[in-house]
Amino acid sequence: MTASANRIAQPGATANPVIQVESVSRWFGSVVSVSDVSFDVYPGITGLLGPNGAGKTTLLRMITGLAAPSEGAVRVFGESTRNNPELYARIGVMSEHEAVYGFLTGREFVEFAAKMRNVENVKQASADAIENVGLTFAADRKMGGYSRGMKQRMRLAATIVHNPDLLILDEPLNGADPRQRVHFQNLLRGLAAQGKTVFVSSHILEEIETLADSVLLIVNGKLAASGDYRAIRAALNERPYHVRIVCSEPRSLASGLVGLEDVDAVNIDPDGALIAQSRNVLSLQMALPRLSQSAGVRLLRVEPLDDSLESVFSYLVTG
Amino acid sequence: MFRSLYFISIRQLTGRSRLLIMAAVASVPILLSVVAVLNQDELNTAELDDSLLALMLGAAVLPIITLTVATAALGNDLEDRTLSNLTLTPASRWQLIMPKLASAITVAMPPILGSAVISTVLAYEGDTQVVVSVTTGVVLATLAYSSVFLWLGLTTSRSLGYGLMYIFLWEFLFTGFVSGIRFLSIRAYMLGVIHGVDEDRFADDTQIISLPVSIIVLLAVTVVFTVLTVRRLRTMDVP
Repeated sequence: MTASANRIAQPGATANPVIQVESVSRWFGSVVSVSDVSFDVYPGITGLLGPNGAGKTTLLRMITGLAAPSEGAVRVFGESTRNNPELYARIGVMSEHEAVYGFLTGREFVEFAAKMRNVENVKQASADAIENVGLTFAADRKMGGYSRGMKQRMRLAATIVHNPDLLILDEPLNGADPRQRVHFQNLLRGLAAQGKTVFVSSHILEEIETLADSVLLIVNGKLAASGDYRAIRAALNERPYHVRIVCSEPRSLASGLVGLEDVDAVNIDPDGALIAQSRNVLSLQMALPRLSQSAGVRLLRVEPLDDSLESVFSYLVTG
Repeated sequence: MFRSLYFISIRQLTGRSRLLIMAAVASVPILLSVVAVLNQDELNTAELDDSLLALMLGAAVLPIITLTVATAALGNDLEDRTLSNLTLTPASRWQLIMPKLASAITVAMPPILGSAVISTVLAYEGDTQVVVSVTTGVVLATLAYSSVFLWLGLTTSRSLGYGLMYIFLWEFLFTGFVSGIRFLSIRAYMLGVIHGVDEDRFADDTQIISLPVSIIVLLAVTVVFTVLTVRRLRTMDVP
């Protein structure tokens, strides 16, 4: 799984990709934000996954035409999005910022978005979009008084009001509570089922896992992996996990741990804690209490060391 | 599309604090006129022209009010990151900039005109010709200043600071006291219009730029800076 394997094949993929990113780089002074990234996106839901600061937003900004690539080319529906406003009749973009006009009601905000996109039946289209995000009850309240999650949903209504063929959403679930997340995910799945293309970014692995058919993993501005989520997940499962164990008798417990089939190695760190390396962390979790009890060792703390997205990405990048 | 963006922009620009600042600035020439009326024996017409028209209206009230409004017309969208709500629509850049310029002019014009008309009526004892000439000059200069400051608001996040420096250092100090560079001052062309429309009264002033040249330059400045703003919006990275 390398950066070169980055053409996403999706069920029902058409001959022409909706988004084409070709050798795109973007730098700010001496800082490289996105480096030589290439991929295609087809209809369905594609997730752009990466830790904060990985370059996701910069990449999305180049795809939407808000920023120009320093090198490379981006095409959406076969055309450049830069200085091509007509294309936005087919694209809905929701940025990560809570960019709303606080003095407008939700309905006014969505109707304004509809008018700016030359929607024919503004009132009806806006009401439908607001109903789609489940905010009809709050539509006539000023947006300045909305919670963050409500602002996000109303912004999504403004993004879909013109029934775009492509949706580009940057961290859309930020600030949403669990119920709103489920609603959001169902809505996006519904749009994908209609043949739309949904390109959604997130820094939360589980969020993308439950939502996207395909994923692009980006770290340090480079594409670390791409393709079917299950294949990437399988690759992740081959990776050894590190678990830090603080206990009353480290050496006694270590001798017991090395005898376990699923434990690859055990080390003792400078603080006297055990670092166990295992490919089956669940099995280790099950065995640990029994082992400590039989060895007469008191467990004080058990913590995974590499559960973060950054460690997952670094594993994928370094192999 | 024009109408929607125009009215949204008007609402953006008419916050209470901005309106209070504009009212305070606009009231200064009126107070000066009251003082002039109360001290009629000590002020001659030339001094009144200099202090009220050239300095107070042309170099202070008019540019400061247009700066406050026009830099915010796009600057606010940049600052609160709502500009992408506009640029990610099928509207051409012209269709975005023209309502913004129109809204800036709409908001800036009433306090400027009110201040100019009331103060000239008071100071020039209701002379209709002076009121007409001042109104014409102020309207044209407001167009020019608005387009300059609209461009500035999109070009830098420190537009208010740079704008104030431009007003006080350039329009107020240098071009006010160094006559050779007055051709690079919007204020000089505004005075050219005022004096050109009321020729009988101001015809003897050799420092004044002619009426046709003044009108052409003020309109040209408006067009050029509007084009530059459109161009800037096309080429910039939108946050």
